[in-house]
Amino acid sequence: MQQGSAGHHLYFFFDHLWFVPFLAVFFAFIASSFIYRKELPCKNGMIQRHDIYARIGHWLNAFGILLLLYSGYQLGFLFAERKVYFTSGAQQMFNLHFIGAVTFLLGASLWLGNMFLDPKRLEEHAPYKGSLKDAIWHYLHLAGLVKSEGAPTGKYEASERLAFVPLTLLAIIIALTGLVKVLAHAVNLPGWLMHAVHLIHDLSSVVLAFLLVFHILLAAVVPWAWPMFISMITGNVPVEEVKKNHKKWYKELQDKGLCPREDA
Amino acid sequence: MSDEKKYGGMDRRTFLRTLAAAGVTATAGAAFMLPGTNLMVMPNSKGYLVVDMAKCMGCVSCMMTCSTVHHGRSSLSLSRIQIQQNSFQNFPADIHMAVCHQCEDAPCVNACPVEADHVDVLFGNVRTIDPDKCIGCTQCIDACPWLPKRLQFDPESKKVQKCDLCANTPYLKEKGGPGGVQSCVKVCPTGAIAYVDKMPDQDDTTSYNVNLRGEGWSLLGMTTEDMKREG
Amino acid sequence: MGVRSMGYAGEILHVDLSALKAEKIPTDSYVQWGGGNGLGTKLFWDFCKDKTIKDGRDEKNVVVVATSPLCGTATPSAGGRCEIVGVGFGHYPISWFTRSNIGGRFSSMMKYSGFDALVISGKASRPVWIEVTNGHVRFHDASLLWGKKARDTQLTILTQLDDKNNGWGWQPLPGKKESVAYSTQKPAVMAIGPAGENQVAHAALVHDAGNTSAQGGFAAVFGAKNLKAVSFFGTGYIELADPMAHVEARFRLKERYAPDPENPDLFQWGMLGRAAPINFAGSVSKNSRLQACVGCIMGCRVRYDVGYGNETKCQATAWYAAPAAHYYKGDEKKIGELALKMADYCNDIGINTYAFSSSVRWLEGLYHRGLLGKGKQIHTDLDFSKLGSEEFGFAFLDALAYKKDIGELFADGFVQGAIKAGLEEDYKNGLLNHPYWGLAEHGYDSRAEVEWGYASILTDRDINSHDFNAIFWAATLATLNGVPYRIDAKEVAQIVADKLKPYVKGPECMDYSDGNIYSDDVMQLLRWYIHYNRFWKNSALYCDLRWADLFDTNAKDNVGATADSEVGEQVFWNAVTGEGIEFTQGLEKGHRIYLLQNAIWALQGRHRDMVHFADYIYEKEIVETELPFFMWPCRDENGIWSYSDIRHRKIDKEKFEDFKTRFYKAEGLDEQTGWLTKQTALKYGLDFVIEELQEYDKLAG
Repeated sequence: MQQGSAGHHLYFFFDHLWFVPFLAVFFAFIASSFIYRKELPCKNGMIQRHDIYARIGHWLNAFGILLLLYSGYQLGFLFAERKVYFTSGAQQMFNLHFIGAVTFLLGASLWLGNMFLDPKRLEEHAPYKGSLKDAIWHYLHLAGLVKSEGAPTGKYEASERLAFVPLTLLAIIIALTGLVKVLAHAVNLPGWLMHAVHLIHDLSSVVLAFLLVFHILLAAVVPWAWPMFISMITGNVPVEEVKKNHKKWYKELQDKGLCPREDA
Repeated sequence: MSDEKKYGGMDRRTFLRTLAAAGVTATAGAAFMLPGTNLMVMPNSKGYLVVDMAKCMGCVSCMMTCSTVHHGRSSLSLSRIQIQQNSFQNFPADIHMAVCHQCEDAPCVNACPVEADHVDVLFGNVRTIDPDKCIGCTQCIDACPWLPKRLQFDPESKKVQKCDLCANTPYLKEKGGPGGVQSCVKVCPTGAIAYVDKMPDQDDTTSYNVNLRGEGWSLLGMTTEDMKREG
Repeated sequence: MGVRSMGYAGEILHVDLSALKAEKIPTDSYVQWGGGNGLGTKLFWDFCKDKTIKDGRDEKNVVVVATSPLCGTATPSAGGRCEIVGVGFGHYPISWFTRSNIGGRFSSMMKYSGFDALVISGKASRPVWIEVTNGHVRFHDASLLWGKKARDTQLTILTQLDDKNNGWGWQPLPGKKESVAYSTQKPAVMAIGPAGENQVAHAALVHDAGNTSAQGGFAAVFGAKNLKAVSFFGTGYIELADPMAHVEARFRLKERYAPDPENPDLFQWGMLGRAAPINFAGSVSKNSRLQACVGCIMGCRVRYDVGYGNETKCQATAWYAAPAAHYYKGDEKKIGELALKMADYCNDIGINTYAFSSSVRWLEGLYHRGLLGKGKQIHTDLDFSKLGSEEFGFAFLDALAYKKDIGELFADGFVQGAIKAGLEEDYKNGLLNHPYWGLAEHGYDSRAEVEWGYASILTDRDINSHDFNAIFWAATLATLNGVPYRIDAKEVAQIVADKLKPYVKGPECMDYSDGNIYSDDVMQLLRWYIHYNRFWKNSALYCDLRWADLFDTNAKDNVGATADSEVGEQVFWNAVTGEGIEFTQGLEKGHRIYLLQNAIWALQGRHRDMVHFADYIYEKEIVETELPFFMWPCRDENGIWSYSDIRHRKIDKEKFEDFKTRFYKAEGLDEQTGWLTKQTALKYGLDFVIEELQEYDKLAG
């Protein structure tokens, strides 16, 4: 047996390209600084809800997170056993995890850069006083339990704005702990820190996966969300849909002169 | 665009670009500056386990004691010393003893991506795995040049373990590690495992199998001749 | 899985061969029975619906293969034993609920794979073998294995399970989809050979090269159930209650008692500290090693480079040595070689050498008396003038295993065969020396070493427990070799008596002189012996060849390790289970197990009137024993202790009957019938037996 040669043929992105996830963050920041976004007027009965940058960011995140959850699950977490065998199996999953991480960091950092440049957009996403009440009322109305529609809805529904906080926080926690884990491939970090980081990363991922199920259910599966789901692909929603379900946003659009005032 | 606010004396776009550029530079610099641990000089272990494969009687007491002093559980799969036995083979091929060599320039230490598998300078430079750091990637197992591998994957904790010469043994009363007690040596009924402080010849694949059979052994009717075995 | 008690794997596996179904039962409710014999007896009680069966091959019979909490731990000479219980086959007049024991790696692998015991019920419609890998059970067709010998059967199974060479590399196990589990070990297989398939009484279960569970006839039971083999493979672990105390006690025991292989004391007295391998054939090659069961303090078998005789020992290596010595006069090499080859072959065809080792001499006698031979009263094509030769040895064993020639006549047991052939007189007069329950004498005449005989007849088979017998060997060999006694008779009696407290008052119990063998002192020694066996040896599974260690010259004061507060049996038991029991509480558990077994024997049809030796034990004085002396501590008329030869006597039937009465009374059994009384059942927490015993009118009082 020759010493020291076994297993060295395997290429681990996390080992050899540990700096790429960090670069992804900074490149996304630079990219976002070159993006200039503007709102478009109504056209052919449609209005733009998500511009191309928002869509790119969203789908980069979606693809990245799903890949991360899948490969993370395969690698084993918390008390779940590892699902892949031999170092080659671990290598495949680690490399997929790496691709997922880079994709997600690109998307998330692009969005973060945008928010930094245009804090108003953050306001659109963030919950407001009374979000909870409005969200509950909205679903009660959908369920046919109350007649009145409740407060007029803006660009994002009250429930979406509520979900925004935990989703964003979890994503940030997972990204930061993930980056610490990546950094451990390059420098020696103390054991207690790594222990804590592994635990937080794994726990947060489980919670995120749980919330993600609701996000997908409420944003893509239930029929009333279909127009919104299509808008995440095409960017546009029918004006009629906005008039009906996003009264407040429609009013804002009218105020900005992006949509015509019908009563005028 | 017009409503973009100034931030720290510059507009937000400029700030973001500057920050990102600095980040790219720092990361690239770090990537260049941190080539990994391969360039470090690894000090030799101060202690080694050697075995006499002709003296072992296959009771696996060493294995069960090893896992007991480390884990508080008796198991063959959690043992850092591995005794393999084929009841249907003849002497001497019926038993093989596998101990960690505490290699010079240990391949497993070099393979670890997170420096969990490291040289413990506090415990006689024993090559050991910090379970808090181990991410269970099993690259160290692949890197180990010996069969059976001298590192073991614990499916429950999803970590890899290896012989630490009993340095980290919560269930061993005596002090372990180089210079202390090695539980496998102490428990072995025949004395088929020994602790030495001189590094066995790293270029000789049989150097960890030694002759530990003294004259008393021949009184029991068994050979005391040297037997070269790899492993 | 419920809460896993310390030391236990947590579940019991029940396989119903009739339905080829497996179920898992939590071990927890059985923990009070310890393990091995106790656990197995209680499982038998619960799973066997008809306890009146008198032949173990009955489909209704249930066989339990049981481990103990100590199995799979480094408890010295206890980690690798395994107990088998159920109704046996081959006893006379009734095949009792009985027990047997096997070493090696079987019990530890069973526990590492997740099970404390295996309960086998029903009967498969075609030959099967069972694979258990980390909790997963699979029934395999064994039609291709049927007819194979034990070694070939095991190798075939190992190859089938080892397809990815796991067992020698560090590779995931078969069934890896369930978990990432690694092992360098091989599955542990227990199989039957042709003898078991042909359901002969002297068939043996075989595991690895040289472990057999021979007495009791369980291989015939496996054969009747169409069960060819069982394989266990696991990567699990046993949780210890106090790991540090366990390791410390093991270190301490080694320090104080274990033999020093670099300076072996070949004349040591005691059990634990014995150094030499137990092989009566002599060594055929010095290119060899000692070989041990899991966790043993010192191996008693040998593996050689010559290709035969591996792991054989004791009786298996002895039975053909004498005929071979007679045949190959002076050719030591050939005699040794043949003795080992015969032992090897016995392990391969799966046959119990004890069943016929003394019967061979009887058969030789029949041949010389003109009763055995071509066209004689017992017809045989075997040429008994060649007894001792290689060809004869193999032909004789084949006849027994394949039920051919005289093997057909003796398939149900030698006593049964003798009666069939009209030779009952030979059984009665001891020419066929099967003193207890139609089973062969172990080599220690019941008229001399009384505790062995008493315990055998008061239980269910040749007790095969060497606790006191170590005195016979030590003193007899010293006398024979003319070397000084290492401990004098008075001292050994005192040391042993101290170990037996509170059962006995003092050293009188060790006095085996003619006048004392029916005394209450010996009766109390017998009770200790049976209780010790039933719990510490057969349930906790301390090995019979190392425990009990009553006296031991390796220790400074010659006091053995048994019951010692620092290294005694209970120390390891407590470190593993956390139960915190005293040594004597273990004996109480043994008593309870023995009482439960008495309930089963009563249901099978036992009455105290049946509990007697073969006639010759009462009627004839000992003529010869294997060694020219049978030395034992005795007192003379003046009360002076010495080692005396205790041959040349017979058992007084009346006095023995009185002894039995006192024994039953002390045990809490009915003096008239030997059955369990309701009062005793209630007192010992055996309420669950009352209804069934009443139903069959077998409850006394």
